[in-house]
Formats: sequence, C-alpha cells, structure tokens
Amino acid sequence: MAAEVEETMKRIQSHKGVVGTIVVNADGIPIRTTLDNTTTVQYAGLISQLSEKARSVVRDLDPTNDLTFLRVRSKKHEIMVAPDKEFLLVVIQNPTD
Amino acid sequence: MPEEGAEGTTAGPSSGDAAPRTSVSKSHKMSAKRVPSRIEQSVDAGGDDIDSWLKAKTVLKPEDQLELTDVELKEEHPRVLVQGNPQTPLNVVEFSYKERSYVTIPAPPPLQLLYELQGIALNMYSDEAQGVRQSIMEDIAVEEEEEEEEEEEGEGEMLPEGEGEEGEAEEDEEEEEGDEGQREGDDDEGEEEIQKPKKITNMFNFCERPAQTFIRFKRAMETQTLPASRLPLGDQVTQYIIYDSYEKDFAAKEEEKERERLAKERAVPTGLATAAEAPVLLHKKEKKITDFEIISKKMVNSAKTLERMVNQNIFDGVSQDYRNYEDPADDLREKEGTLLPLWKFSYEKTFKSHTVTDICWNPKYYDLFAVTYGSFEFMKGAPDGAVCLYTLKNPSYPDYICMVDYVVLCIDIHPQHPHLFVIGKSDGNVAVYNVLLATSEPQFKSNSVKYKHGGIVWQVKWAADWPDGEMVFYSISDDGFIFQWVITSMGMTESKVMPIDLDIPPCPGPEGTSVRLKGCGRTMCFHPTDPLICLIGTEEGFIHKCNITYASNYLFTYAAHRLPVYKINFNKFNSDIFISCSAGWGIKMWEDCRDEPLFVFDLRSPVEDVEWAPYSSTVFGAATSDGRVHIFDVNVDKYNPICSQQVVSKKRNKLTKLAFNSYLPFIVVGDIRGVILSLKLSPNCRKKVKPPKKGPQLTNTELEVNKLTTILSHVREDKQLVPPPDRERAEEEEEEARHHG
Repeated sequence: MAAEVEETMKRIQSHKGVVGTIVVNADGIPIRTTLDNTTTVQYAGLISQLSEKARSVVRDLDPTNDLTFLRVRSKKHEIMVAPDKEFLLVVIQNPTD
Repeated sequence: MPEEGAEGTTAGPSSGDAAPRTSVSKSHKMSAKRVPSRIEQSVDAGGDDIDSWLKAKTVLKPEDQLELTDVELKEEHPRVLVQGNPQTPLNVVEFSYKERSYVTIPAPPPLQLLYELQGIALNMYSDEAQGVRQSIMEDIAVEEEEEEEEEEEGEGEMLPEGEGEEGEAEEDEEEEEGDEGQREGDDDEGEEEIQKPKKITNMFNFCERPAQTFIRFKRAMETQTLPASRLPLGDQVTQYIIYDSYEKDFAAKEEEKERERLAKERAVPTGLATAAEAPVLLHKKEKKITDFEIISKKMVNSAKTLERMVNQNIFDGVSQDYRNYEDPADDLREKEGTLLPLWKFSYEKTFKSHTVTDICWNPKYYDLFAVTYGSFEFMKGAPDGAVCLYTLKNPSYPDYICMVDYVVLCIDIHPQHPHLFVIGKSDGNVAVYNVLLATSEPQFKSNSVKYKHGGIVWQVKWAADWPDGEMVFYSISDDGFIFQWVITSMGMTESKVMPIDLDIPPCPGPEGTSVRLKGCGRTMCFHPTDPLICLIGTEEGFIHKCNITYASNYLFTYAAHRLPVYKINFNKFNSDIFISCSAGWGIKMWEDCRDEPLFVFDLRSPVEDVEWAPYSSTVFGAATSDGRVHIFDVNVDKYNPICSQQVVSKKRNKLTKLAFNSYLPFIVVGDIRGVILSLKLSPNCRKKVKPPKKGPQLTNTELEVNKLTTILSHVREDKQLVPPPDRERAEEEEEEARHHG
C-alpha cells in the first residue's frame, strides 16, 4: 500500500466523527483497520457482500456502467465504501457528532 | 480279370490247372517279400479258403463250343502282331493356300488315347518319395522302426503258402495289385505318420464333416450399477456477467490477432523485426510495475474521495449554505450587502508561519484554486514557500502540495492547460510545474545562476500560445525587467523583453557618471482582447501601457499612485476600463488613455488586492491590510462600498489577496497567517440589471456593458465639455461697452 494511501487513511481517521477505517484486500481479508477484530471481520464480510450486490445491480441495469462508491446512511452512522476489484476501503463515520 | 479275356489274347493254356501256377507263385513269393504287412496279412488269412474254392471249381463250356479233337487241339495257329495300324491313312494331303499346291501332311502317330489319368501316387523308390520319406523318418522314434522290421520278417515267412496255387496271369496281376497295394499302404502309413509333424493334404482319406453349431439363445441380462454421483450445480448468470464474458472473449480475439500480426512481422527477417521485439519485452516488464502503480493510484483516488465524503459530512451545514443560503436580511436593506464566511482552508505546515502571497482559480475546475505561501517581510526571511491546490470539496487538506525552497510570490495557471502552473520566487527564479507528474519537482525551471531576474519576481502571467504550440509566459520583477519565457520541446528559454524606464533625468553617479534609474516592476496585467498590450504597475506608482513586441517606448503612462501599485485588473465586460490599487490607501478606476481616473476610492488602509467581479461590470472587491473586505458596486453607490466587512482580526492579522470565483458568487481571501477564507456574497452584492420591459431583448453581457457605459457617461461628461466661445454674447458685450464708453 502506497504511503500516500496510508497517510490519507490516517488523516481520515483524525477527522471529526470518524469511527473507524478498514482496508480490505481482493480476497476479502481486512489488512488495515482501526476497529477491533470482531467488528472489523463483521464489517469486512458484510460490506464486501453488499458492495458486490450493489455492483451487480448497477451493472445489470447497464453493463457498461460500474459502481464507484457506496454510501450507507444509517441512524447512527454513515458507512462510506470505495469498492474496487482489488481492494475495498471502508470508512465509518458518525456524522452527528 | 475274366478268364475268357486271357484266353483270347494269349495262346497260353486257357483252362489253366494248378500245375503251372506253382512255378509262378514261387516267383511271386520272391516279390511278395517286399509287400507291406497289412495287405499280405489279409491275403494270407484267406489263403486256405481260396484253395478250397479253386478245387471245387468246374470248368463250364459254352454250348456252341466246337468239339475238337486232340490233334486239332495240338495244332498251332500262329498269330502275328504288328506294330503298324493297318487302318491309318498313308498319304493324307491338304491344299496349302500358301504354296498353292497340295502338300502331304505327316501321318498321325499310331496312338489312340482312350483314357488319361494323372497319377498322384509316388513311386516309393523315386527320389521325390525318398525325400518325403526321409523327412518323415527323421521324426519317427527308433523303436517304431524296429517294430516295423519285425513285422516285415514275419510277413515274409507267411507269404509263400497262401499264394502258391494261384495262376500265372493272376500272379502277375496280383503282383501289380500288390505293388499298388503296397504303395497304398505306404502312403497310408505315411499319412498316419506325417499327420502330426507335417500337414499334407490327405488325398485318400478325405471326408466331408459338416457340423452344426449351437444356436445361441437370446437372453435378457440385467445388472444394476451404483447411481452416478450427482451434485446440484448452480450459478447466477446476470446480464453483466454475460456482457463481461463477451468482452473478455472479444479482447482475447483481438489479442490473438495482434499476436498473429506480430508473428508475421517477426517472420520477416529484417533488422526492423528485432527492433520491434525489444519493446515487447520491455513492455512486459513495465506492465507489472504499472499494474501495481495503477492499483495504488486507484487506492489514493478512492481514499481522497472518501476523505471528501467525510468532510462533506463534517461541513454539511457549510456546504448547504455555500450553495443555497441567501441572506434574507438583504431584502430589508436596500444598498448594503454582507459576506457569509464559509470554509477556512489551511495547511498544517504553512499555518501561521507563512503568508498567503497569491491565489489563482483554476480556469477549468471552478472549485479548485491554487495558493502560494511565502512572506512579504523579506528582512525577516521566511526561508521557504509552498504551493497548494485546494478543492472546495476537501477544506481540511490540500489536494496537491509542493514545497518550494524559496518564498513563492506569484502563481498563474495556464488557461488552456489547467495542469500547468508557473510560479515566481523571491530569488528571481521562475518554475513551471505539472500537476499530473508524480513528483513535486518543477517540470521546467529557470537557470538559477545566469538566466533569472535580479530581484523578486512579483508577477507571472501566461500569454497566448504561439502559433506553433509553444507556451509563453512573462514575468515582472523589481529588477526593472520583464522577461519572456518560452517553453519548447528542448526546455525553457528566456529573453528580456523590455526594461522599465523611469521618466526622470539620469541621476549623477559616482565619479561624474550619470545613472539612468530603472523602475521596479510590481504587477502586470494583459489586455483581455489584445494579447500584445499589457499594463505594468511599478513601485513608483506609475502604470505603463506598453506593447510587448515594440517595447522601446510606452504607449501611455498613468501617474496613478504615489506608492507602489499592487494590482491592476481589467474589467471583465469592457476592456477599456481597468482598476488599480495601491499601498497609498486608494483604489482608482481608469479608462484607456485617459490621464485622470474615473473613480477614486480611499479605504484608509493599504489596499492589498482588488479585482473585478466576473458576474457584474460594476462590482469589484478589495482586500485591505486592516483585515477588511470591501465590495463596491458603482451602479449602486459611487462613493462608498456596499459592503465592508471585517473578516480577520485587525490587530493580529492582515489580508493579502482576494479572488472571485468565476462560477459561483463567492470570494476567497488570504491572510498573513496562512489561512484562506471563503466568503459568500449576499444577494445585494450581486444585483443584476433588470432587463428593460420595452425594446429589444438584450443578453446579460450587453446589459452589463450598457450599465457600465451609463455610469461612466455620468462621470466623465464635464471633463470633456469645453464650452465654445459664444460669439453673439461677445458682440453684445462689446456693444454695451461702446454704449458705456
């Protein structure tokens, strides 16, 4: 992982309301996280499924289209996902803080 | 053989008795010794019976037989047998057409062929039979041979008794038969013996042996095997999966075509082919590297976008205001407007330590702007500077950072190539950066020893590209020169365009020389429509209008200010109008080639920056050292700003730069603490002209131009009007004077 990515992820973590950041590799294994182990595994597993499903939705509607980002707003958090074939970046933020 | 036959052919005793036979049988006995055992046994076995049968035999005489006397009987009748055939024709002739005469043909041979049979029996003493026999004998065991010999001996003893009484003729015949039988026996024996070792076709013991095979019955046989293992196999196929597989297939085909094409090229044995191979290999190596780079680049981009999202959540309220908030109080106020502070941009490394020295909006992306950091206090000496690109989407951190070794004082982004920007530094150097490059090193930079300015570079400006595509920019410095820089494929070259001369007599120098003083350039501004015309503001307070190509003298000189001119800016709608600001507290609006300013505003503080608004022809903004931002609309108020707002602390902070966004109604201002503040203009600050209800429809630009012209016409009219001499009045006065006189 490039130093610039690491730096950016560190900066994101320092922003207001950010609960955690997770970097998942192509095999769905979390390689960087700021959360505890259990939560990380749970997030990584569920989010990668969700983003795969979301991608298939987007691509089924138009095969030339593709999913670039995914934001899930919940009552407590906002989960921001940058899905890619090779990696998955997840940021969980509490926007009301 | 019947006896009559024998009587007819031979003159021998027809009614043969036993007497003469014995002699014959003796001779027969001799030959019988060689007869094979089996036949002789059978003959011997019946020997007694034959004798008894012969004794009982009576000679029957035909009834018509002549009764002859003994004399007659003893009379000899010789009969001669000759060789020739008396019936054969002796002289057979035939007509020969060839010789045209009768020729005698030889008489046929005296032979009559009645019956012919090819023999298949072998003479046992012939060489052929010997050969066969030899091969057989070799295979037979020795014991068997001994047995044979014993049998032969036994047979030899038995023979003479049985055959002694037979007649002469019979003996002969029997001899023949015996021979034949012998041969038969031989062959038979041979057959039996050969059968095993050698397969010779059996000539005598052949029999047909048909055999019927079993009829095969049809039978139904069934077995049950274990069922084949089954497992449910399922996959979801959606439209995009199908699409992707087609795409992949297409790509593979394309690649194959390409490979075939390459292979064909390679097959041509030329130097070119080998040269083409090398890049292919290189390409493979590079591909691995670029794959990693592509992924990490993607990751960086994703991370940056995520950061923007996080910031969007944090600054949600500000973002809403930035787009949607319109100050409702403006409806109650008639002339005054306000400024709504939005985000603050700062970079941790330049915060508080550096001054914002220049701000430049990106010409392509309206939400991206470049900021240079440095210091105006050169005596104290902030050692370094920086260039940062900020985007409104991420106020917390610059999008692009470039640390520079000297104080950076000015920046300009290329209008056609928004990834290129040029900066001017306090050591007199200029450098061109390319944002697209991974490094933060300049793409082009001036030679820091020879080709550079002798003083601080106060302003850099891109000019229009040359016809052959070379990029050009100009720089102005307080060493009194304007440089032109051309970026070619070879690099960057510079040329001195013009010196900035002072319009004062040469000063007396040391030892009686006279020194011609140069002006210190502070700012420059290109004419928006004529790229050759440029205005230069100097530290001495002059504004020179000059042509870049004919730099020997100025087109016009305005004695604008008494203190350094900080900024000159052309009006966005009318290129004859420009505005200038100075350290001498004043803002002046000028018209082209007019000595006197059209408007003069005094802000009671050094005016650091002034700029026309992009949306209105009569609105401009100014930033003063006391931390205030002033917005003027000469259409609304010719004497006072419609908005004058303290945005930073008066005591501790100063504003240095101001820039209008070209797309949305807000400004950014920089201060000496390294913070950029964005401020939204309230509706009163951006009032638009209402289109006239009657008359032709005008575009917004035309309306703005008209608005400015109307205002200016009010301002300049009395200057232009010089009353002509009134002749009638003068005559009247003269007459009155006469009257009085």
